[in-house]
Amino acid sequence: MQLVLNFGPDEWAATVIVVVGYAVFLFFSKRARKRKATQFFRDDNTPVELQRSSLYGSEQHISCTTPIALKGTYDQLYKTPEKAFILTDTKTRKKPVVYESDIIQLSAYRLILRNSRAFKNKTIQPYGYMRLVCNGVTHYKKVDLMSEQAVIDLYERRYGLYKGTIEPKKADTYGKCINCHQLANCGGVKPFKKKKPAKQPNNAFKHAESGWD
Amino acid sequence: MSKKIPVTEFAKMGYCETLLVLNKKHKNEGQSYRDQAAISRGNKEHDAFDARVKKQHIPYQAANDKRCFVASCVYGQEHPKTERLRRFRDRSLLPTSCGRALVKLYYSVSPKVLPLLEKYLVLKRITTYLLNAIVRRLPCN
Repeated sequence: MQLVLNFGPDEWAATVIVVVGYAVFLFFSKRARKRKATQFFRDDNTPVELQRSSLYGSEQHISCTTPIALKGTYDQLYKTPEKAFILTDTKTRKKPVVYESDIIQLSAYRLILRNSRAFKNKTIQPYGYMRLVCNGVTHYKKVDLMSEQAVIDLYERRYGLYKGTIEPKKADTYGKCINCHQLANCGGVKPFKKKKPAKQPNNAFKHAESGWD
Repeated sequence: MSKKIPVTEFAKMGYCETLLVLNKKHKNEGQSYRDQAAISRGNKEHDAFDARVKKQHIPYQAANDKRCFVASCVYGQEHPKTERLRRFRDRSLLPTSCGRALVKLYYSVSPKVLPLLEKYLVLKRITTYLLNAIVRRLPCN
């Protein structure tokens, strides 16, 4: 207090200039940051919900032992203004398609977070976003995640498959089999029945009647 | 305690169950040149986006930011009082613009103050007394 009372007019002027200068610097740097962020959202095609949210974590390792033992590194976790959390995962592909394995991955991350101490009593949304990068263009796809019980059932099914008590399902698309390195051990390509295109009706007679020719 | 399964491994259940079982049986999880190229492309994109999003997605919640220079110097990195100060920073200061400005000022000034605290014990005692007064007024959780 003694030090403050001994300030002369010059010292006070200097203090005011420093404080005002710092405030002006913060104001302009915030504006520049906001402009850069808007450009980033536009380039990345970020959905509005994620633009409104804050980035809570990126590339963080998480794990849990209950109810099932899983570990992994999520890509991004966003916190909405309503204090809910949203998971996103990035994939680079030729086409912007979401596969079942992507949904399982995000659902597993959600299960880990819900069962970790840091996220106790916190809301983690039952949906996530797949960020698909295809030839340099980013697409965001909102996906509904599996329930916790469904993930646990899948974990137990995996255990059963490895023990040999459950018969494994074969692949459901031709593309998965044809390039598989276990093709010979699997017993060959699953015979997929290609759907024949439906026969188009012969409209030639109709066109003649209508006077098109 | 059962071994933790990586999530990426677990997610392969959605691709082909027979492949999983055969890989385990033959201890062969071979990757073609095409797969390796795809994985390398994916990793590059992950790293690039991670760097960009941390820089440009505002505001960046420093949820895992363990920095708390002065408190760490006075109490210790993992002390409960240091944790309470971090929680106060994350929950009360970072959500507001004034709070963020204060945090920014603190992080720019505190690395310069630290050597003085370590050099002069009297200064450290005064800082401990002031910090204790602040921590007493913070909520417990």
